[in-house]
Amino acid sequence: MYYLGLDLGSLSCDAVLIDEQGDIVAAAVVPTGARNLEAIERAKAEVLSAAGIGADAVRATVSTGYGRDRVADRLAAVTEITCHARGILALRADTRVLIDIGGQDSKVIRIDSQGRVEDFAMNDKCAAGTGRFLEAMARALQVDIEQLSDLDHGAMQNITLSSMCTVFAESEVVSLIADGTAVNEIVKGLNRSIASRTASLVKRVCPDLNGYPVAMSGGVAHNNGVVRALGEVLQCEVTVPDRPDAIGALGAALIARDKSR
Amino acid sequence: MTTVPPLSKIGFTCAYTPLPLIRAAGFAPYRVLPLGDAPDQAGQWLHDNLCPHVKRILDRAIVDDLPALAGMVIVNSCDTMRRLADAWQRIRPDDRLFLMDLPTTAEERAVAYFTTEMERLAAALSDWGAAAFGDDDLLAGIRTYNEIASLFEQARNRLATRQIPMAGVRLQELYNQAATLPWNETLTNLQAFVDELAATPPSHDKVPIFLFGNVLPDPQAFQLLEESGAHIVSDDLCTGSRLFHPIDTQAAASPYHAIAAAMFTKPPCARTFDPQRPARLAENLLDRAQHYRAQGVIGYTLKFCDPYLARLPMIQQKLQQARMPLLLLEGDLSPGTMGQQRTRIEAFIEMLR
Repeated sequence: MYYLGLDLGSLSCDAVLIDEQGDIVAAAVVPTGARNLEAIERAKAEVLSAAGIGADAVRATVSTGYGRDRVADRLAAVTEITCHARGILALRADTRVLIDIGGQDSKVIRIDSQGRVEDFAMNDKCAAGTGRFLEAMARALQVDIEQLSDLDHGAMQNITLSSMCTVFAESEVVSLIADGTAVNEIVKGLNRSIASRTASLVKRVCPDLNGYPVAMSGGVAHNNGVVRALGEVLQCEVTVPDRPDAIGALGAALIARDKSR
Repeated sequence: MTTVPPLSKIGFTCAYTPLPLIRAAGFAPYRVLPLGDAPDQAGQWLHDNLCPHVKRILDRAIVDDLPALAGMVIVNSCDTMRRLADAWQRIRPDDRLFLMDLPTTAEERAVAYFTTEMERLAAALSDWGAAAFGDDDLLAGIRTYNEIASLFEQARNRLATRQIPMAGVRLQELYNQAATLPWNETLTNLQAFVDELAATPPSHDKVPIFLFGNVLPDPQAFQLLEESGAHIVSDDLCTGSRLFHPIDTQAAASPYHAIAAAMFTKPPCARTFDPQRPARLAENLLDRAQHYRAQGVIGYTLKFCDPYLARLPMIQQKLQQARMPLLLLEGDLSPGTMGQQRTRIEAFIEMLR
């Protein structure tokens, strides 16, 4: 039998299908768009098709993400915090601090050696420093969001963006462009802003990292520049597992399996 | 059959208001809770970066979303309440308003000062049409008040081991009733709730949580907490347990002194400071969370509440030392604010399971 984890986020809907051993059989990430029920069905259909199985082979589904209650026929709805902790335990069991930056929120989770959540912190209501923030900045810089990842290469200055409000930061970026500031310098400044904001969340749940292994999940973990900036600010190595955007869905699938036993 | 005419109401806004005195003077205390659909207009009178509690009260006053009030008592418990009194007088110049001073520190001279403030209030209540009343009337008011306080305490003690659906919602509705309706109605409803809890077998399906903060009167907020898997065993809230706390009349020089002493010995709001025990608020929260067998503590504070902002580090430290998990939430009493906190609450409950 198989177990399905569905993570319905603000930007993407992620699905992970695992087998009885907990190995990933298939995974899919589709844009959530305006109709999240359709996104759920698309993500589900993609993993079932990739695995070559029918829906009846799925023994249990656990949903997570902000739209977790929208998923029908679920065994349970579990928060992203618990799911991300469970997911990272399966991939990097030594992780004690997990930074998850998704489409509209960022979280820092402290995890014990059994994968249990010991403490967590989330950003406030605004989306500063999240995927939405980066999308807006990429738009202002007229580059694709994927390109942002390594655009900071070669930057020598330490430009500071004074505002983390997405609207004000965007106008600040426009001003820097108008002043002739190089794009790589601006991108590095953006990455450092996100990193310092995230670092304050890290300090809330883990005032002294003290060699704790730190990992990162969520769509923003694909951005190498942000990961590098985080490592510099936190003065530690920040590891990124494969498919960091699917960690929540993987955790949900594993919880579905655990609850079914 | 004769019908007893309803008592005239005296409005109030703070848990430090001496309710037995208002009752003894022949009035019904009516708390102007920050609830309802009054449009957000307080910003015309007070700065936008002020306590949402006070602003919501002012919103109600602006659109007259109030019952007929024989007078209004505002306790000068914090600077924002003081500003509320100013704005109230501008908006409703014909209302009778009494601004009552409340010392910041919990000590004997504060009790003496607050006793004189109550005597001043008693004179104002006489001016507002109170029938002549004496110490016996005040003692009778204290007795009824203590009966309500005792029933609330019984309810909380039973909630420590008994879970019934939406118990927190119902308890909050009773707190709101006790603050706004005639006390005889509260006594009847509260007794029925306590009896129902007594007849309920012990159960532990949900995670027992102690709730503290300043103002959270909306039963829907408690519904969200319960739907997230929390069972609120007790609270330390201005709109909850802090309003009714037993008054001991045995050792006091007068009923006035007894009420004043109780104000400074009851679990304090963050605006009250005990110079002998600076950590009293934090210690009290921890003691009570442990007494009610809570597995975790949720703190809900309103934005721009400086007294609580100042106390939170000590509370965090005290709970951390005792390994009592804590979740801090901040809100502004607007509909949906608690909904935005849902993931945090659910994750906290999942963490404690």
